[in-house]
Amino acid sequence: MPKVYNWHIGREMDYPYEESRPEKQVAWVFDINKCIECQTCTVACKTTWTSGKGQESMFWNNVETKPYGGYPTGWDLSILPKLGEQVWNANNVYEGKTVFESAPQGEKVNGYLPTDEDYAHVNLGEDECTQVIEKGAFFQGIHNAWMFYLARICNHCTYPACLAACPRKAIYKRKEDGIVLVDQTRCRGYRECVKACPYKKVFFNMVTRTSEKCIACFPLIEKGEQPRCVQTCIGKIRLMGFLNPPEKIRRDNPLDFLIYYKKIALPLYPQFGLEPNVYYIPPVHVPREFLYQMFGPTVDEAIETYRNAHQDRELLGALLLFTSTQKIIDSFRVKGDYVYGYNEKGDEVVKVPFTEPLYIRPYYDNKEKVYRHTIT
Amino acid sequence: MTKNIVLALMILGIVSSCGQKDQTPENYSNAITAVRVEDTIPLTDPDAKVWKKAPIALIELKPQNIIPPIIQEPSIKQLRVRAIYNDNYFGMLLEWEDSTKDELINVNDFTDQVAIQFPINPENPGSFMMGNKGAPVHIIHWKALWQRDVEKGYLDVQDIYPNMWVDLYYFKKIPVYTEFTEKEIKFPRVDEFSPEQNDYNPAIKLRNPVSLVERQIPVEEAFAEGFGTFTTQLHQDAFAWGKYENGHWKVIIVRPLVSPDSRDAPLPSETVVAFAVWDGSANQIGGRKQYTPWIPLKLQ
Repeated sequence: MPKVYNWHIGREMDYPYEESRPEKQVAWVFDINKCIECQTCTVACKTTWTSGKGQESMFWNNVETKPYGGYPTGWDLSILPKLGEQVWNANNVYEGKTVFESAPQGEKVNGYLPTDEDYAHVNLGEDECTQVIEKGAFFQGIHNAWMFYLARICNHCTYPACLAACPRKAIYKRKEDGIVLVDQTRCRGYRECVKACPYKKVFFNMVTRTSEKCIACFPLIEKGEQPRCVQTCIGKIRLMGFLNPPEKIRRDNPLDFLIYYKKIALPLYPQFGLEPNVYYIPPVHVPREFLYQMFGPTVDEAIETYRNAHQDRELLGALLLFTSTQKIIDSFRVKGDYVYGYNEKGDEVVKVPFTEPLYIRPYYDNKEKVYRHTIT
Repeated sequence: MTKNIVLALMILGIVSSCGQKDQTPENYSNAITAVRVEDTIPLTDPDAKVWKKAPIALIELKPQNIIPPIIQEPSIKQLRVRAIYNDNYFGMLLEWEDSTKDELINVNDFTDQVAIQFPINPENPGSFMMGNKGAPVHIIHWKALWQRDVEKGYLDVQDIYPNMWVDLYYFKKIPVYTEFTEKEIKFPRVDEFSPEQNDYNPAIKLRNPVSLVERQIPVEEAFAEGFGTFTTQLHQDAFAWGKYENGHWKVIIVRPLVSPDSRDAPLPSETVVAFAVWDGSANQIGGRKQYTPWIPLKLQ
């Protein structure tokens, strides 16, 4: 089996195909600290792409409550034990096995196939805390009960397990932008991809009898716009853009900046070995052991950087770009009290103030002869 | 009375020893003989007398444990084959034991299937595993699911979940919730959709051969030259029909003796044939199957 380099785990690993990075890689940063689980992203995706027959319980985008929630039910709890011990050494190199390296004989990927019931409880565990809050308790600054919201889409992985497992080569990764797609004319519904994807983001459609997954809203991306789940995000937790190959990274590219330079956003379960391309800013209030398991060994540094973002104008500027425009931001610059975003041609697509200007109007509107409900 | 009991025990003994006899490798056939008949080839009746004119070839099935994805153990171990032909058609009756009839499809439901494979060039049949580059094969593939589609209509969501409820499908108006009426609410069936309504079902819209809602025959003819190259043929000339009874599948596969389709294998007096069987309840699909190597086939 060929060896490929996976920078998330800091080492080479086995993968059924040779390393072949795209010219640029579609990528996202989700700031978990800002997510309110309003599910607007889920609904935007659902109404755009999966309202067909056979897609009733299919969510390319979902938001689940950790630690108890998960869609399909227990997806991470089911795959994690299969990997065995997951140890990182002092140099942040993963010493355990990936889903490729731990595959049983005769399989390309170590996976499992969920049952239909696993797709039946999308919001199982929603809003459940890790412990019961005592009657009469009130917020005193710090409490031990915790939970957080995890928004999930297809990770459009650099080393997709779905693609590796497909015996028909019906799944491909686009060279121009790294989007991973299932060819709906070629797929014969073997479900090897559904079984292989550790994130369980390939779904079987019992009506078309083929497997389907997030297409990264490629019709929007092709015209320079961010996907629907990003555009509609109420909490402004999302930013989509392109990650450059490691040798071509640019500091003024917001994705390169947040992921490679500031290392503030981390991959979900890097130990799976897929080099996923949705990066998460970890929640600051969650026990670190839980976060190490979920986002790898550099959680502490990421949270430290995030907590100090108010002292770093450049970082704060990049964070202000989240869900600030429909357009894809190729580069950004902080000038004065504003951060500017530019498209690939260098045209300005967004200008966001560091401090929202405050206007106060009189209570009484002399022109309309009415009192105003809001004056700011 | 005693005599009768002895007789009954003897018969039982013969029957059970026959069963055991089948299991032993020395009884496996190393060739299949197709018998020429004057009758028409029965398309849907596996119990027709004409099949008895052909000898049974007992074929050993092996688990596909060579190329990932694999199965470790075979859940179906043997296949009985009879072959007959007349001036126009060639037919095979394939029988195997399977304790469950699997004809549904869902994320964790797989269907029973059988396929036969002929080499396009019998002189150089190539790999028995779907051929290889330069040595293509002709595959005829039957699925219990497809037969169910033909018999009962294309399997739809409400067939698996009869109590389903969906508030809104954009492509089709659902009658308003009629709590106070006796009227039964009927969900739209996908085989009644217009092409526009199938915009939400891309594989159906794109006419993927596994998503044919108007399927008329439960079989597919394909061409392949190696793993991952299974390609549905443009011209479908074969027919197949299965019957499940008492834990036993009987499937008839019929094809023209001589076909004008260049992607159909010729049937000279001596060629080879290979088989594959899938057990749905063992989650078998694609490469997870039982197979046979090439087996000589003689048209007597």
